[in-house]
Formats: sequence, C-alpha cells, structure tokens
Amino acid sequence: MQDVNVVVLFDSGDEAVERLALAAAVGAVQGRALIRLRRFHGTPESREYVTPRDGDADWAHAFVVGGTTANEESRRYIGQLGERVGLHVVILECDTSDAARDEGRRAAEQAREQRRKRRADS
Amino acid sequence: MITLRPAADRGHADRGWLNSWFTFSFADYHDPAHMGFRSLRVINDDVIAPGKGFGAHAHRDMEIITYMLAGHLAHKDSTGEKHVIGPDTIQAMSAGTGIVHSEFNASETEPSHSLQIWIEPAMEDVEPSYQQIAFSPAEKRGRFRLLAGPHPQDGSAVIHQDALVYAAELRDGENLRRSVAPGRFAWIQVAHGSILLNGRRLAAGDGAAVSDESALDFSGSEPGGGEFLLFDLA
Repeated sequence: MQDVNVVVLFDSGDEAVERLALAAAVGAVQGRALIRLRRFHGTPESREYVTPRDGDADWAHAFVVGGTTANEESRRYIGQLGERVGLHVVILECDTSDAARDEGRRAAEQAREQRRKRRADS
Repeated sequence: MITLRPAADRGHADRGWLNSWFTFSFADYHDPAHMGFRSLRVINDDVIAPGKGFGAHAHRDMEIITYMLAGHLAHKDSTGEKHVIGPDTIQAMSAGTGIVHSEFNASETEPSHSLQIWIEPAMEDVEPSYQQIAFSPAEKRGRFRLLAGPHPQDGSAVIHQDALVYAAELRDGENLRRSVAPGRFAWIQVAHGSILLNGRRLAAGDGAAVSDESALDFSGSEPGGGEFLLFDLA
C-alpha cells in the first residue's frame, strides 16, 4: 500500500514552520506514503534535515511545501516542481498541526489517486 | 533447540559515520534466512561517530526499542518529545499511525554504541507514543530486569506485542535460570562480554534463537562477565 512517495520540503528556521512540516510528514505517513523530509539551507543547528537532493523530484509523486520560500533558490526550485508533469505539489497554507497533518495525508491520497488514474488511462 | 547467530555472520555496513551490524535483514543487507525471529524483526548494533546520526525519517506500525551500550543519543520526534538517552535507560517508541524522528550521537567527542530493536506490533494504527525509563544498573545485576512488555509493570515500557524484553548482567560464576513456557520462544542477544547459555559460549554480538526448550541456564563466562538481552516471544 506504500505505493506513493511524498517529499515534505520546508524553507525556514522557524520552529513553528518545522512543526507544520513534521505534522504534514506524519499525515503523509498516515496516508501510507513513503516520505523524505527536506529543508532548504540547513544549518549546524538543523542537522536533522538535509537539503533537497538530486533525484528527489523523480522519486516523489507529491511534494508538500511549507515555509516562506523567502529566497530566490527555493522559489526557483519550487517553480520547477510545478512544471513537472504528473507531480502533485501542495503548498502548505495552514497554521495548525492538525490541518498540516490533514494536508499531508490528503497529498498522499491524491497522489495515489492520480497514479491510479494514469495507470487506468495508459 | 538453540540456533546460534554468531556476531561475525551478521550483516555489516560501514558508512563512515555509522558502523552497523545487522542480526536480521535490514536496509541493503538482505538474507532470506535471517528476516527476523517470531515478532522480533530488527536488532541493529550501531556505532555512531561523534555528532553524527540519523536525520528526520518516518516509521509506521513498529515498536522500536533503543538500548544504549555506551554514550548518549539525542532524540527528537514529531510528537514533540526531545530527550537524551544513555546506558541503563529504556527508550521505546510505538510508531503506530506514523511518527517522524531523528537521533544523533549527543557527544561531539565520543562514539555512541546502541542496539536498535524493532518488534512487529500485534495491531496496526495505534496512537504513536514515546516512553523513556531510567533504571539502576543494580536492577540487572544477577537478575532479569524487564525492559518492555505488553503490560505496565516494574517500570518497564509498554509495547503492543506479546513480547517481553529483559536485560541481565552476570559476572563470572553467577548463574541465572529462566524457564520457557510451552509454545513460547526466546532470542538471546549478547551486549557486552560473554556468557554461557546452556553450556554454550556466546560473546558480544552473538545471538541465539530458542525454540522447544523448557529452561535456559545462563552464567557469566569470563572475569568481566557479560550482559545480554532476553526476548520472550509468542
């Protein structure tokens, strides 16, 4: 059932944004997705997260993006994601962990549904 | 029947920052003959370099027990738990519907050494939870100290499986006997030093699968003695 891959990407050193990203990741896991957590511009204090890797976009069926996308590099990266055919991209606009968890779960479910439709169409 | 799983036969991966020995198949190490034993799925013997560790990653539907052999690990998870654990502490995490956590060697100078144990839960989709219980080393000296089990008792962690996990430390000449109930199984994993199990010597890293045995006799087999974990499994 873990047939969808979700990357949760966030762009902030703000603990509140990190909490939302973690909640979205948990939601994606609840949606039975495999996940990768990524953070732009990791600092020594944020060793828990690595920056986006080559291959993440190929691996993922969905991206959940949280944070302010405050810099040019992250805006460009996210813009490129939006151009990829078949990749489900969700921008987190909520401000509670419960809502972020729901968004993560929904992203997994919608990506799964998209995959199912594509398989049926092909 | 007692089937030995010698330390040297385990899977091994050296990633530089992480030196791991796998009692059972894990990650890139896959051996169909060693996929676990009863509900016991993983025993990873991990040495982590100073300041290094596992970044944020997810688990689902697994009971995860960490037992420190040396050093300290810093843990942080999506339930908001943030702790440092060291020897003589039980850390048990029920991943249930989903949990994201990271764990790093809390020291910038000394490596950490830990056993990470995964036990398959009897039920899926439980509420994720985290437990951490410290105990005195005296509680495992010459006797079995319950680390985890399905019911809350004696300061042990509660896991969602009919499995009991004990630690015991025996000095040379000390003996312990453990009966195995009919239909039950056991796994022995030596953490430090060496012990004798029904007359057979097991050293650090060695494991043993036990089935159709009614009693297990343990003794410390060298001057330093030995410490081991006992899994009593359905």
